[in-house]
Amino acid sequence: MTLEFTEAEIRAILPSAILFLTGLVQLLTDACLGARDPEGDRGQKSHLVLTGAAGSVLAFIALGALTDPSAPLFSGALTGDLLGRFAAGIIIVTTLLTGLGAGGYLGAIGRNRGEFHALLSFGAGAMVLLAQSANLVAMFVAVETLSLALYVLAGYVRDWRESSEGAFKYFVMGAFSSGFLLLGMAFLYGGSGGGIDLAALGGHGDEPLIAVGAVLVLIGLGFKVGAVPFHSWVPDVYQGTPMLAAGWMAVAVKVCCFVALIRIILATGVNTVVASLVEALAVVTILLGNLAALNQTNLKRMLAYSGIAHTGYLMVPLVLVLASHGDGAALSGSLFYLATYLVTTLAAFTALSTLQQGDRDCDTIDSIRGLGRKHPVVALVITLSMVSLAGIPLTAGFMGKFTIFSDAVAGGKWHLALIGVIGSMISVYYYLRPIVAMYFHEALEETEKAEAAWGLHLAMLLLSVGILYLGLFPESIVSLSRGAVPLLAGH
Amino acid sequence: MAASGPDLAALAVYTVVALAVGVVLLVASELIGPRRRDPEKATTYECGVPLFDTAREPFTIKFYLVAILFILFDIETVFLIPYAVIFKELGLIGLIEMGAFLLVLAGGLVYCWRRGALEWD
Repeated sequence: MTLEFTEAEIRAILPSAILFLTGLVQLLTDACLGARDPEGDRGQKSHLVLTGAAGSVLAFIALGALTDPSAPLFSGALTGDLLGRFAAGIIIVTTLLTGLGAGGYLGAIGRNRGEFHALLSFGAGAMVLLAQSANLVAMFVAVETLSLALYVLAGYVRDWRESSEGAFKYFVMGAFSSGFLLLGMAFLYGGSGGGIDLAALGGHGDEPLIAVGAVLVLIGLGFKVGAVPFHSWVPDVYQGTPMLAAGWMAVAVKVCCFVALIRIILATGVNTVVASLVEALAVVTILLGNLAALNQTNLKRMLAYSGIAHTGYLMVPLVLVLASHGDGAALSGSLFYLATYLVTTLAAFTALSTLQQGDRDCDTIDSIRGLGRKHPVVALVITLSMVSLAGIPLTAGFMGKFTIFSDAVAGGKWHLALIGVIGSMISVYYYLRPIVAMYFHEALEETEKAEAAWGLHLAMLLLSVGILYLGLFPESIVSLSRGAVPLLAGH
Repeated sequence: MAASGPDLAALAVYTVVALAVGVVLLVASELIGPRRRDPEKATTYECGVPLFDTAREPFTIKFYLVAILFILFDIETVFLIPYAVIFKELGLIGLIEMGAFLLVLAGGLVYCWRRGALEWD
């Protein structure tokens, strides 16, 4: 027996390998040198931030060096296709910006330990791997690896009561959902006569085991992306997670798990049961996410429910693809939406991360009252991200929603577009509440701003530029997302 | 898949007899078996040695850390010994793969050591 790796295989594994290695370096650097840092957990630890940033940039460059998108790599475990590369690009950019802010944010809440930076890198490595997975085993291993990083990040601040509670809930629900995912994969394996590769799952007609497997996988990954009715953990977990990590979670996890969901559902072929189930989930998720967000007074919980609603919008293109018997073109709407979701949501979490009350996150609407006068720049960025989340023109959020809804109308699913528009109209109410509190109310509570956190400010600036850029000049990313899709339809 | 008649009949007889034997033995033992209760019988079985005290004592969490570290390096052995057997067959790629595995493990060891996980106090 001989083992050999082709050059294409090494190129394909390189982005996640770089991220894992970065995490290891960060972990060891802090363990060996951390004790010498005079500022301890209150310092910025810029060396860890810069290591992480360098790792992310290198991984992004390595992504561009992927070759031969169609050939199976590692006996079919990974693929170098453009869908995976697009998703991996979003994940790496999210990690880069989160990592940039992490030093300043953690220093401000007095909990800057190397583990946080390392877990970001480890998690990102696993997410990139998930985005590139082309067989069931690789997918499951990647899902579990990224979940491990997330559980620890959710419980990162051990002495916040919500943090321990959230981490425990996340762990129990995560293990539960992994059970569904694994059972679904087992049914797919059995139904296809022993197929592990996604390519082997199609062409089995109306084999009931395949449909059962697809539904179970839909449930398992539905938990991870936070689709209703599998969403109950999302608000509790976000509330307990440190603000900056919650933003990373909201974006990166959604991207990679959604891509895995797309891959499995489309690989199993178009099944009417699965198609109508996805459609029902999309409708319920949009409506319930937006309605539940209405009376939240905690900003993290509000953003969690808004994230649930956005999952619903993301599922609309998948419904269109299933309705048009596997024509993948509509999926470019989802991919572009993920890019707009990245800049918008991460901007909100990053801007909120610059504010603290003592050693705690500033996460209630009351706590940001009067911010427009005290910290005008932060207030402006929060306003921009809220406006973009609501989908008001000239912002990224508008372009994302516009693409999805117009695709839905063109695909004959006008009722989905209608529900999406109704959801967006509901959402304007709760997205405007923080804005009103910041500009039209007197300050109630004392909040400080992490003035020294250069990385947070840089990330905030880049994300604001991103929101406006995607809102005004979306063509480049739209054409990238279009290019990522046709190869998928060939699966 | 259709089984012939006699086979199924034999299976049915077997099932009935097996069930009957179990039920009859349990019921008979319950009805006519002698009962002598004493406190010795109610204690935990410790191979005939008298009990010191209850096993439900809190003990220090440091044991868990040691146990987890032990499992990690136990797994290392589990992978290394089979690797030694096929060392030549796997060649350079195998060496690189095991090197990556050992690098990660060694990284973990250095991390535990620097964070003080190897010190008891």
